[in-house]
Amino acid sequence: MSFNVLVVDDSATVRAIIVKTMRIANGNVSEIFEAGHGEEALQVLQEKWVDLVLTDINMPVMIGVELIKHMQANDAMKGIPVVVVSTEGSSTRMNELEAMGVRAYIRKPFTPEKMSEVVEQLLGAADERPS
Amino acid sequence: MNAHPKSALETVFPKVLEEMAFLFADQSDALHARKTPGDSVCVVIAFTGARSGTLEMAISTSLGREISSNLLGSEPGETPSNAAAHDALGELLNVTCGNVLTEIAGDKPVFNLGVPRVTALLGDEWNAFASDSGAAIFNVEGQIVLTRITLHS
Repeated sequence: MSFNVLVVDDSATVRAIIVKTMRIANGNVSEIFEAGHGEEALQVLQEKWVDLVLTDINMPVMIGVELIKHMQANDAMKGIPVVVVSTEGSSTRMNELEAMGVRAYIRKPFTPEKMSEVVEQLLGAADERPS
Repeated sequence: MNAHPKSALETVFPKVLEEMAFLFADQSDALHARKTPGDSVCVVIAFTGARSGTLEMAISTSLGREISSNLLGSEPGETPSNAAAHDALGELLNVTCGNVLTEIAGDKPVFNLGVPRVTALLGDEWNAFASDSGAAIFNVEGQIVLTRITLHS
């Protein structure tokens, strides 16, 4: 089974690194969509089938926390697993995100192995769910 | 935790640079930093939250391109555009900022980081930055990088 992933980060460099990592290490990833902030991400989520969202926190226009709140308030989006990829190291913020349903937190700088491991775990778990 | 901002930068910046761009940063000093690189930029990121302030980095455009190439794993001979180099430098500073704030304030306080801004840096501005006793100065591959964190509150 293959999966679609949405990468949300205002840095084109970070998006390119994540896309490259997944293309090399996660063979079950089919399409990878990109968005530069939360609003663009919501647009993609309305138009495309997405199985996993990787999002930064600090972005212009709409920050990652707002994106997650919008997703939680939408019946069609609230079941999509979200992974936060951020430079922030605040345990207070991480606890807030966990309470909001965020499935994993990857702190920048990250290794390709760490990224690949988290994606594999979440997509692997999705693969094992009865259809 | 390391409450002294300059010392925190001296600890964090080399680690972040090595992990992200596979480049090594050695501490340098103002004496070596006064030779202005031909073409340089200043990257600034503002933060608010438990403390507010700015983190700045002055760097040559050529080193910025090298960092961008390393981050993206570009092929040899592939030269990144100015926009790509600026984006890569912004991300390098963004990651440095998040990690240096944890180094200074610990892992409880929440900070909000702004969008990195990149501007051209004139020779006088480079020299003023290099002469600031609060600047943490590094030698990266034979090129000088200036960094400084300013805490407003």
